[in-house]
Amino acid sequence: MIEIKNLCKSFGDKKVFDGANITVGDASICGLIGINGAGKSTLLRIIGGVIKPDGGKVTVDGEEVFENERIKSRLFFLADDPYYDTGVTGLKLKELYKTFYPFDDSVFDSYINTFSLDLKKPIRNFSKGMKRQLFVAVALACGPEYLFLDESFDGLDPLARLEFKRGLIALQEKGSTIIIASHSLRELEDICDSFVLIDDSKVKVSGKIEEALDNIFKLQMAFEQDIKPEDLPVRFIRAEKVGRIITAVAKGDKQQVMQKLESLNPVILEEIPMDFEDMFIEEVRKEGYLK
Amino acid sequence: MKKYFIYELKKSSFTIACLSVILTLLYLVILLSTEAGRLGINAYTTYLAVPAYSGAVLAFAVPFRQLDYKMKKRSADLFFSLPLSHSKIIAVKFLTGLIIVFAPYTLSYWLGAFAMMIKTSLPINAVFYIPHFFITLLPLYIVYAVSSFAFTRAGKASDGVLFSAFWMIAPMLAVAVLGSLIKGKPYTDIEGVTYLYDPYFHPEYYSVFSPLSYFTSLFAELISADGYFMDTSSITIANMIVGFALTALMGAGASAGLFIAEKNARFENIEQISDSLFGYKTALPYLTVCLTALCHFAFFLAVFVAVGAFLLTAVYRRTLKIGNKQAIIYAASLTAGIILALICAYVL
Repeated sequence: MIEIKNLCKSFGDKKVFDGANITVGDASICGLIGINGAGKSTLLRIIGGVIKPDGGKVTVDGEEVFENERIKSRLFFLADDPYYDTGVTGLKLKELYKTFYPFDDSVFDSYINTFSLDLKKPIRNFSKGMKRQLFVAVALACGPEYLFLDESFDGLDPLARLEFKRGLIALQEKGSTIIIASHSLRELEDICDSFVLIDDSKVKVSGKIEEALDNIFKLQMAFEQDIKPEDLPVRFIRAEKVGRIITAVAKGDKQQVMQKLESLNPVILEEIPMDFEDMFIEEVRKEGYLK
Repeated sequence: MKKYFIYELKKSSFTIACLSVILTLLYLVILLSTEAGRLGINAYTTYLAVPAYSGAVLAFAVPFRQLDYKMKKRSADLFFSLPLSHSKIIAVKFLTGLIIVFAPYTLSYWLGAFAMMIKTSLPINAVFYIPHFFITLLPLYIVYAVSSFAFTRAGKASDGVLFSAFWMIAPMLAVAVLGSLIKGKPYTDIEGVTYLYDPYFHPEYYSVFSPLSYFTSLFAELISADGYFMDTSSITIANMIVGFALTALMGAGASAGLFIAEKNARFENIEQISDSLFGYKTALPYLTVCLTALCHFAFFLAVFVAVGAFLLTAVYRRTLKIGNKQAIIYAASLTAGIILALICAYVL
């Protein structure tokens, strides 16, 4: 289990984290979301033992991560722009990771075949997507107990994304815990069971994706009279009126809200499906990032 | 750690092979294209100096290749996340780097020595090649350690190269200023050779490269089997002993400092302004004061020092707007240097 308690981290005058608390359970896939500069990559680097926190505790299975070789041998951090030496080929990259992790050649080879990568070519000659495919293959072949991925869907084609997601689910089924920082919220929704939304140096919202989506909903309605959204007997997170149609997002007990609105005899009242991305947009809109 | 060391060594094997070939060829080409007879007594020193100086260049530059993983966020992301402590990673990199320096040096030294023995008509005490080889490993290590420590004090590789270069000559500059203060006017010895400094504070013996140079000269005498021709006066010997002690101390300090500092190495300093005390913070005022003071024999040169110091400050701050604090340090260093230069020129 990953536990972050009262995490504080600053870069010069800029506070990136000021008392953040996060818990990620075993064998789960957690999506780390937030606007650009919220601190997602920093958080992954802290959990991955790259950066030392200024304050608070970051533990994996009860042990602090920074400079802890034993814990770090069980986790794998894949940065958003992974490093490779000039002239390094896929084969040499494999050798490096084999030095440190219990590398599964068969898993690696199967991904290399699926992605049709030439391991004898220098990585610098690969396209962005091919580089990403290679590092994804390395990460999955290392089979870590804890896998931290930073924007790892970025640059992957739809087929590679599908293979990657399958690989992550297979890893989770073996008991691994995965944290993915990404802006591809639709991809996260497909595979993540929980999420953490970081904003303003704190954890704004976290929990199970399904529960969060159950708790927030979008409605479309129209009434015979010309009613303004603020005159309705329901408090919406956001509401827009175009002509007679009101589109509104609400949080809480869906049935109760529907009952209140139905009492006004609407001409139209229907729920519009809401996904993880809509939920994220509503959350960041609340913080004033979107007008 | 052992597995990683083997990996690094395997990864560096091609570099080691290439450098060995280049250094050996360089030595052999110089050896075969010069006539020992025409070089006279200088032949021994020249031939012995080729591998030594090539080794010194490697010892100075190899840390830039080995330790630049600490200068880029991308590489630090990889190396700092590996299941090895920061100290172990730098130890492996440091040790591999040392092999990259010593292996080509060893090969070129011995192949060159054998070629010299076969080719030359000069009398040779070949046995002295052995102690010379082993003794020169120490100054090579000192250069390597000082360069490694200085380089890793920077947040950016280009700053690191400047720091390494600075520490190579730092003691030499202080000695030159001291020599100038003690013997304010250029000094001419009994053979008519003019020195700009007091002979007891001869800067030539106080760069980090110096021990390599004078060990080589000393052993060239021993290998020559012709008696000595080098100035081994008590003044020279004193300079050598103090110079070597100073650089040895620097080497020991740098070796220890490299690993101690690694325990507090911070990812967040990477690619940032190099604010270490062992970097610009010390180098800028130190260089400004020393170089300005040394302009006592040609004051107009202080203008170049002033311009150079300003440009270096701009490199440090990464902007031409150097700020009040830096401007004060700049002005104070120049003033101190000018005062010292005036003392050297007119008071002493």
